[in-house]
Amino acid sequence: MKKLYFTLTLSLIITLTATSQTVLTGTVTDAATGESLISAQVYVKSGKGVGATTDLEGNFRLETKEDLPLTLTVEYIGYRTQEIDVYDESEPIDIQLSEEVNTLSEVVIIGYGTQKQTQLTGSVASVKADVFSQSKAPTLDGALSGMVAGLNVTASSGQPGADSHIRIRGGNSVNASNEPLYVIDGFIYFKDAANSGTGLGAIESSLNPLSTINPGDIESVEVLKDVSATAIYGSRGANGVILVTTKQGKAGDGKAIINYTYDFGVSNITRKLDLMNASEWARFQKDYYGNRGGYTDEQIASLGEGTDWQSTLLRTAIQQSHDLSVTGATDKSRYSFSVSATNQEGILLNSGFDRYNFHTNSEWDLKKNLKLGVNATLGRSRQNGLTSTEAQVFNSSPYSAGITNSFVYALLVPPVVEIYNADGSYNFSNPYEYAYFAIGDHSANPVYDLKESVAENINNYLLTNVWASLRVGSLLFKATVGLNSEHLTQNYFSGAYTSLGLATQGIGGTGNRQTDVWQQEYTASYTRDINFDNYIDVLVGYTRQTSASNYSSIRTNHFTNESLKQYNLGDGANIYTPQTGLTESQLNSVLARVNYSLKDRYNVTATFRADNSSRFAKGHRWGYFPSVGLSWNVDKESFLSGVRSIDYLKVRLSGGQVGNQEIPDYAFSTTFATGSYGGSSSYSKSNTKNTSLKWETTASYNAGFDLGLWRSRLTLVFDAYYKKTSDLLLQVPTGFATGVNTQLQNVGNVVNKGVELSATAALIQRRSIKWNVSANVSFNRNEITDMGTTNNVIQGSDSQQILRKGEALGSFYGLRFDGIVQTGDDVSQLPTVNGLTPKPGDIRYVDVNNDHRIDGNDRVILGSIQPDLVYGLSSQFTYRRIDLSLALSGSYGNELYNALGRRLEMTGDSYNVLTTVLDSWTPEKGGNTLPLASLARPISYIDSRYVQSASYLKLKNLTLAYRFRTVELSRDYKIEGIRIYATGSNLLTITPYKGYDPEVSSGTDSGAYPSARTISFGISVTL
Amino acid sequence: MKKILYIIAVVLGLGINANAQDVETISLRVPEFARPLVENWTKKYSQIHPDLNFEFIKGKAQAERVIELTTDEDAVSFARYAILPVTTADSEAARLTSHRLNARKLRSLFFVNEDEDEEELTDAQQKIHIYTGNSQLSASRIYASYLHQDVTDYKGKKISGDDAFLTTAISRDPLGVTVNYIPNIFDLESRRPESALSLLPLDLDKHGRQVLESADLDDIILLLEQHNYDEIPVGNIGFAYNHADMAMNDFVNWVLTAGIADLHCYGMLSLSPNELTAQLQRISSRDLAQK
Repeated sequence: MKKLYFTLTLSLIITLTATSQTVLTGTVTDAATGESLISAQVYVKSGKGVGATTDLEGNFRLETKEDLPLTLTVEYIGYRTQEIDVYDESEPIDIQLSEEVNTLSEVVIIGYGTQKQTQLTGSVASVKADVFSQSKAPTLDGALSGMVAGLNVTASSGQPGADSHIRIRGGNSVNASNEPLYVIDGFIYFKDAANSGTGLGAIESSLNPLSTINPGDIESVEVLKDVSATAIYGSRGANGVILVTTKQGKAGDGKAIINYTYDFGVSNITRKLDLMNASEWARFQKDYYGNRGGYTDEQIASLGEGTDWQSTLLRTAIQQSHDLSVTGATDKSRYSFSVSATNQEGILLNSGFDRYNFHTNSEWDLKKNLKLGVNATLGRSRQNGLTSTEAQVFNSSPYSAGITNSFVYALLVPPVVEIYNADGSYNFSNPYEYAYFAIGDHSANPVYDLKESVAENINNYLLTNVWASLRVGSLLFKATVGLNSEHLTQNYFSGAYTSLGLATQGIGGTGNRQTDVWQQEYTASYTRDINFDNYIDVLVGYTRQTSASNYSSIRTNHFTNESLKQYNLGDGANIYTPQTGLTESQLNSVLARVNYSLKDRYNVTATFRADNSSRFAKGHRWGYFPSVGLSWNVDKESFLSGVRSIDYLKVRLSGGQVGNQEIPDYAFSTTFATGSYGGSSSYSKSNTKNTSLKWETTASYNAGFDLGLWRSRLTLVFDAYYKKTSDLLLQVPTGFATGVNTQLQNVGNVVNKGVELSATAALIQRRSIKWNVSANVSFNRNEITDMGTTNNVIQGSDSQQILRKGEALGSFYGLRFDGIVQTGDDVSQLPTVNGLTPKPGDIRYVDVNNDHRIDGNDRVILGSIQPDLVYGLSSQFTYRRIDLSLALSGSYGNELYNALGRRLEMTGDSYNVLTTVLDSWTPEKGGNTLPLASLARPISYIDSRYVQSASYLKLKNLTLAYRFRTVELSRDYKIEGIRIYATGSNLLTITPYKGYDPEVSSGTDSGAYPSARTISFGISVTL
Repeated sequence: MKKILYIIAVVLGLGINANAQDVETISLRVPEFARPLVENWTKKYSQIHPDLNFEFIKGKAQAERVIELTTDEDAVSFARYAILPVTTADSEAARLTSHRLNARKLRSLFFVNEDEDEEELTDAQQKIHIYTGNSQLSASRIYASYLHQDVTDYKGKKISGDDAFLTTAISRDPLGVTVNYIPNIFDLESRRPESALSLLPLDLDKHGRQVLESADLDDIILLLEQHNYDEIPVGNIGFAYNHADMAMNDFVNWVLTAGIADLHCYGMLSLSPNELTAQLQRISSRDLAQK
């Protein structure tokens, strides 16, 4: 009987228990993308441990004894925690979580994937789309200047469409590239300098490889700086990596967003050089050079300004651009399409840049968990630039005399020479020109030169990636195939009356280069929240990139009819040896990465990549690049939980090794160059083999922290780093027996060490007024710590630079200027120059070795192109519908060799000079900067007067904009936004530099295309 | 024996008779605010068509022949809904929201603005507890969309289940404010708001304000059928179903012709005559029927 009671009681309890259970089911998804959130925590608020975790589909099932209504709490890392009151269990609960908006909750794009900022161990800086839309720079490098700590952008010149030099945490290499690696929507994009021409020469500028990307298409740019972030790119990560992600529709957009932007601007030169006018020049000639013009004092006075050749070559340039984009999403696809047209006149006659571009970034859900995507950019860039004297050798070399291009020549033509004859025709008579650009009675006319010469680069490009991904549970498989196909055409023509064509009665040529880079990538990744405390993601992959580039060019001269210019090369009587060639390379890689996060506090990232590059000698082709990164979210610790002012604090530490393979193909082998000699073909040795040529490797260490204070009103990012590059790829002088002058060897070390600090402050965050300020500063010290047995390598056309142990890369080397010998000085105490005792009016140099004579041994380091610090500041101020933004950037402590200034202070009887020459030493008035005017140049070494500070502060961008309210056109159509704006670019430069612009990436300002100030206006309409 | 045979015959007869009736079942998935209306229609329609049986299902319950009430544009619309903000009568929330609210103020009251300074918030913004629904047909979703906001940016608490529970939720909280469909707010008998509820004052034109203050259901329906306001979302509701199913098509046709007479009674707004004609043409068109 007892047994019966017990059974009945038990049954009753079970029944009662069963009936009091509440079973809740539902789904947790991302509010923005609609994607399932796996392993989200769902629990009953009052239920003390009663909870469930969502499965792979985001579904959960939760049983509780609590009666309805009850409150569920839903948590997911990086998302706002949500509480939901449940009154009814009959329907599944649909829970959508939105991402938490603070810096650390953001997802950051990293190599081959994404990572939550909280779990990141590397040093990664993000630049968002608004920076690119506001900057109005036609290429993304122009917009990056001053935006990222440790990123130094230096324009090569002011030529529209020209490239920039970008250095992330200083330069590592001497002869291999120092440019970062670009990854555009997953495609590794690196333009070999060796493959940038067609063998044609004579064209001053080359097209910026980044000109293929329309900045308006960019969603974000991530700059990977430390080894934890870059090691996944192994042999190509040493110089940092810039990841470019283009815009794409987002799940949940629902309808298409259509945007059209029109921009119109005018540009003018930022700064002119102060050259002598006609009266000043004629007076100078009469006083010092025998007055070849035979001017009387009255005539000199009446000459006045004469011809301002500098101004006649300059113009107010017009630029305009049209951008049309459509982005959106459907249930099964995300898409973005854009077309753009940019036309930018240069401020020098007949120069400019234009681009037509189509871009798409789209993806489709083919089946559940199976996606297909396409990224494609198709377009055409064209750049008209200056003709260059570099390759021309006749009547001695004008280039070595400092006449580097047709613009520089214009600065040198005396102001007493007219542009036009009385009948309006061009004046080709310049009696003062007898050295370089005169044949018989004819001399070059710079205006004609610029207007009629052709120096054109045309690039037709296709950059495309097709990928498919399949998710199987926590595993994601992805396969990508991409192609970067570029066809470069170079056109060159200098007619018989141009500076470069005078000697040959016209010269012209055309060249083509076809470059195809194929990329395959196969990756598998596994992502899993193992439980409440453990998160892991693992990536493994294989990639292969093959490159092939072939080129051909031909030049002819002595034309009888110039009307068709380079399109009638057959008219040229003499044919130069055609240039043709082909290079091929392969890079095979395997890669792996593991990210592990414990309790969302302790994170570790381990990365490994093995690369096999065809660019190195057999037996040295494999390179292994490991890295480890650690980070600790200190703010999650209990001892900081009471500190309300700290939103987040993360400490990071990383170390590892990356490499550099950016050297020309076949540098490890013996190669010969073809030519012709005496009517027959000839071969000359161009490289001698090095069977031990291998990777340049950079070991890198980084420590830093991210700190957010006062509800992220102030955020700070600090990093300190040390990078040591070993086995430098260096052109080392070789003995005569090798048949070549230099050989690429792995010799020496370079060290970069520095600190970076970025700060962002939300100074005002009211509903109607907002003011944000971001600033960054970075200090970097660059030093060559080992050069093997090849110390003191002199470089540059004026022997102005040196590679020396203990000094920075790009150090300038020359004599130290010590003033001018004055009347009454005891010249017997002065060191001799070329065996001669200086006399009053001569230059004094510092006798460094005290041997009482000035020679090459008295040269010292005069500075370097490496800045001590680089900084940037940007600010956005918004008042209701008006916004004002500005961006400043600058550098401090770097120098430039002002070769143009040196040329323009070199006095003579042919060429114009700067007005500073008027202060040259004379017996009457003295002077202590320039010597007595004389044709004689006592010594060819450069001196410290022309290694000038290139520190600068630039107001890169100032934009004022107004946003109109939404306008409803009909029930179905409305204009979501109209924005009108005015932008000033490059408005102000503060610098002690005496040339046109302190930004000359090569470090030697030999007459670079001057930079422009642009005022533009635009309208942006969004439907 | 005869008796046995008789019983067998009766049983068989009953069975045959029962089979002969062959009742068809149509399932309906309808949110609470429209359920009284649709129930009323099914009762009336069943009287005309006794061969049809209607059953109401909830959640993701599966059925072969389902008519689903929805706000999708593709559905055959039969009425319009209106959504109003509401709070508990004579509560602290009612006191805090006694000033007329325009669309901008409503946005500020209901939605999170990341950039908003705490010191700038009004008493109402700081103290009020917002309650919103979470179901696909919740008035809260429509309201967010109407005010150009994201549903995830709602302040306060979400509730799971039908919007009818929102009324329960705010009636327990003197600081509770929510939005809901008119039938969930009004007592359809008295034509006044449920005793515990009070409408939030909105910054409408003078006539609109007077009608809203009067809180008379019929006056409000009339007002909203004739005027559009930035502060009050009004939109179409309709039936989504398999148009090839003639029985369901006939029912919807009956709703559009006869059933609509009941709309006001159950707190719904009528379609304009042109729109009603268009909907009738839709269900009679061959193309639609083939979909």
